[in-house]
Amino acid sequence: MQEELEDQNFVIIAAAQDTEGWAAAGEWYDRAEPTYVALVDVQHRVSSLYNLVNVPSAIWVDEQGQVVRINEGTYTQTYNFGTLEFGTDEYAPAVRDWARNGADSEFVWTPEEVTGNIRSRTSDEELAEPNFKLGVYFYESGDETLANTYWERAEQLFPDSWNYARQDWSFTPEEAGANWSEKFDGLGDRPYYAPLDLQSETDGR
Amino acid sequence: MSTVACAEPPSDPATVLYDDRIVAVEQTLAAPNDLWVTPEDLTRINGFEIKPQGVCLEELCIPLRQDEDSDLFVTRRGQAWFNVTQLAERLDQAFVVDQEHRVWSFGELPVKRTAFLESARAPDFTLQDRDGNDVRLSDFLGKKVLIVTWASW
Repeated sequence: MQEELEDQNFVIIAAAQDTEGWAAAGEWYDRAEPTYVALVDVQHRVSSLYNLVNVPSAIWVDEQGQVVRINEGTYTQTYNFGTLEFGTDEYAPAVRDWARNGADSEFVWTPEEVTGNIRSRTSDEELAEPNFKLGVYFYESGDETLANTYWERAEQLFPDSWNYARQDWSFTPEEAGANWSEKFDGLGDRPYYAPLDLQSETDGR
Repeated sequence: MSTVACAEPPSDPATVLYDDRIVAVEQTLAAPNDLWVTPEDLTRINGFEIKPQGVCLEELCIPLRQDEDSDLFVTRRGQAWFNVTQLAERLDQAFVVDQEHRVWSFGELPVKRTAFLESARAPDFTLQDRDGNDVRLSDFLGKKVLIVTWASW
């Protein structure tokens, strides 16, 4: 998409929320042979700054540095694995529309819509972040036991963060599937991703 | 001079995690729970500077008396010390300490969240590309930027 839209003054930055850094994200980027800006985000800094709790998430930043849209579950297409289906075909056309039409795109939000769609954080959730960072620090220092202690604390303080939970589970891959299913079942009626909300203003929102 | 722990000579080094930085601090003032550092280390940690009008980060300034000791600022043997954890408390900034390893870890500064939460200004960040080059969001001002988070896990 980056190549197709380059002449539209449009750039894609991909930030891998991966504590293991390039060791974890590198081979995925290799396979994609990216033409976009490929970065790793060991501390989950982007998720922290933009109050994101899951991947993939995406933020549109306009030429003036204003956020004009923020969404979760921003897949580029629908994927099928046997009976399992995930992703969406709705999001990519909206990105193309914005890249071409900028502020005139029907998918651009007003500042009020953006701020209304940003998750707010409780003080416990704010406290989760320095705990997560301590975990990353001790992991990089080779103390996985202590890393786990702080990661578990971060998960307890911020149970809505799939990023913290799944990052932690990634170190015990044999249990990750069961952990995910259990947490997913715990959502009850709540959605795994917030709705994309791609209806335009004129559709009567 | 008071006989509180602050009267002790400078003690152990500390490590501070702030934003995406790991800051090694050579000298701290012995105190049971707080992190006291020199003004130079304060700036290395969180960018705050001690100025005549107070302790300041860009336009944000918190008034600070420098001619007498307080819970934010003390002078010992001619050396000024600043209480980083007390500043965090004042600014409602989350932090955690691992006492055994003397590692302090700070969360986001709430005042920095304000521009994003109230006017949708995109918070800037710096990350490295594969060659170790710093890439800033603000490098791309003037372009439309799609930021995508993903993960290998």
